[in-house]
Amino acid sequence: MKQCQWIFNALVGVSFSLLCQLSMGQANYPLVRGAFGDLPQPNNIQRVVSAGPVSDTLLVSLVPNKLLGFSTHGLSTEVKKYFPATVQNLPNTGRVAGRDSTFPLEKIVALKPDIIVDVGATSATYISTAERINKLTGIPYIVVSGLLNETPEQLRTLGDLLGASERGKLLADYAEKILSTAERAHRNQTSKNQAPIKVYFGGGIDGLQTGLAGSIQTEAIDFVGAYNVASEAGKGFSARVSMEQLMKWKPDVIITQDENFYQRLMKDPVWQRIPAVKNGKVYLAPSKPFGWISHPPSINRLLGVIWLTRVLYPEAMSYEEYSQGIRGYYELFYGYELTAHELANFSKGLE
Amino acid sequence: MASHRDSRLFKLLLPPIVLLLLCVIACCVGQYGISLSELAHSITQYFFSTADKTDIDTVLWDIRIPRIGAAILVGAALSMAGATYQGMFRNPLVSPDVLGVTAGAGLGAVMAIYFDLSFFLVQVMAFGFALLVVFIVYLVAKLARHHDPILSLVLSGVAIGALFGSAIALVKILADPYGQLATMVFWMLGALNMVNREDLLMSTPIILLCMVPLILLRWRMNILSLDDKEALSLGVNVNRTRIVFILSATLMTATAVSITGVIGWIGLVVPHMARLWIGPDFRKLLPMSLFIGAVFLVLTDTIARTCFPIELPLGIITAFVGVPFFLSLLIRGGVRK
Repeated sequence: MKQCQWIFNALVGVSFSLLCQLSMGQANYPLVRGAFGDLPQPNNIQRVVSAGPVSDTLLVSLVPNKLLGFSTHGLSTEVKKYFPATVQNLPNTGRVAGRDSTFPLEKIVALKPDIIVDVGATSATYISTAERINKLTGIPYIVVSGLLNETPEQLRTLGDLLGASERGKLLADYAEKILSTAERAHRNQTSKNQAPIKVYFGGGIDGLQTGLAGSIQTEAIDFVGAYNVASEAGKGFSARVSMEQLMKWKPDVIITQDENFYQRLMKDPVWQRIPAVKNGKVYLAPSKPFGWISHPPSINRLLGVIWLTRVLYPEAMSYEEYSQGIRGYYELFYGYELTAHELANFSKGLE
Repeated sequence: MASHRDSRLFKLLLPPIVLLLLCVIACCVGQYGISLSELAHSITQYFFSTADKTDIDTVLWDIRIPRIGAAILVGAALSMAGATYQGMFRNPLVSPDVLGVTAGAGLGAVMAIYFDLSFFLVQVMAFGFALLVVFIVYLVAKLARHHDPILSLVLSGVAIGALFGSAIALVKILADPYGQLATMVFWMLGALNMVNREDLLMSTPIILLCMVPLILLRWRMNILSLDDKEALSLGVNVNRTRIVFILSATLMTATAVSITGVIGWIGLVVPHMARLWIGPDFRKLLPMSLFIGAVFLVLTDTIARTCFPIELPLGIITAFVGVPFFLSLLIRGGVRK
């Protein structure tokens, strides 16, 4: 009986300390939505496992030397060339986050990471998997919220927690600059009393897959103050829509990231009836090394914010300012110097 | 006696009439509102005027009518194929995917999506893989000489279908969850919103061509559903007839699936609806399946594109509409032998 009491006390004690730690973590860093296990001292962290494509994108810029691999499957050499040399040879480890994990737990343990980091959606699915994986492997696991407007804070938070405060600050400042420039540009537009520009984001192979109002797929478009026409079909998730709806919505601008759809749209006579296509306002967003608008929805969308600002408000952002922003991002976040040719390729129709 | 014949005539004529009415209604409704007068204007405009196209014309002639046309074509093809397979395999639980057509088409399509190929190539891959799987199934069944030919066809179809199904799951796991996966899932449930005029122009001749032997030889199906020996004694070359039926039904299904994705349920259930409606005589059953299938898909697709602000996969709606209707037919009885 006494023994039971002892176990009970120990359990209460452990869960209490866990709770303290969690609430402490959350008090200091509001973006940390879940922290499981004893987080190591930031300076002792040398080996980091990324839980999903969103955290891949962030960590490759923030702690390239501590990252153990990519969870994103099959990054081509064409994509990897933008990364620092050490990162290019990293293996593909598999996804940890969510229910569709492809990362064998034993392999995680064998890699001996100091911490697992997940960024992005923080629903109960992700939090509960994090907790479960921490219990199974004993490796500390944190989940950080991944909204676009929180990008600077994400970089700062993870910089502090992973022992890269300085770099975190540096990147966060740049992110802040991008976001505030974009905000200024679209505020200019609204102060001129112009209605927001109607934008359609065409995803998927036929362009009929889109993000409804406030969905993670179209956050960048919402952020720059454009009106996402698919808002009329609902909000919150991504969905399929039909050509008829597009005829009704009459978007002024069409944005896509899908090369195949872009080609199809240029040829298909029905698409030619949409005002955006008629007026040549169709733009193919770059997708290397990661999609600029979405796919994955991570800090790569900062590039999309610069790009969209130039696409939608050319008078508020000169091409000079735009290309500086893009070049600066590649230099700072990937350590890569864009050639004039690459930049021109990214910026078709923007000059 | 006359009244009996009248009621038979009524039963034969009702589905085509309903189809016609449904098509008119389907032309009028949709996300883009078109009034009846605008509809009439657009139709006269189309035939008698060379004026520039308006948005209404585009919606009607380039988006809505091809979609309705595809619904008729695909609904008819899948139900006819289903009726053929059910008759041939003497099994009421058989649907057009029994020989692995849809599993093959599915794998072809998800692989094309995975490798970021163009929309056209997705269709080509779906079509090619669908035929490939049926060919493999047929070969395996040929090799299994010691079993009943029908049984070995069905068994190897189920097994190879399962294999390809797992391969589809594997590709889905590896796909980019933010883009490709949604496209794949949607494709596997079927939809008509990506069908355009060119697709229809390409697939209609193939499907119509496949329908010809089925319709001309449909009387033989009644004989095929007898024992092989009995059929032989009636002077029908069982093997050759069976190959013609399998080939036509398969090619038809593969074509339909490659432009719309996998629309489940129709091929399984519409033949039963037709049987409950008109009886088991294949000479009437096959044309009835054709019309009821077309009615069913035009109806469900019209629901899909008018009742919801977003596009829902047809596979979901066909089940939600079809199951209650089918069960009510089942409970209320129908034609007794």
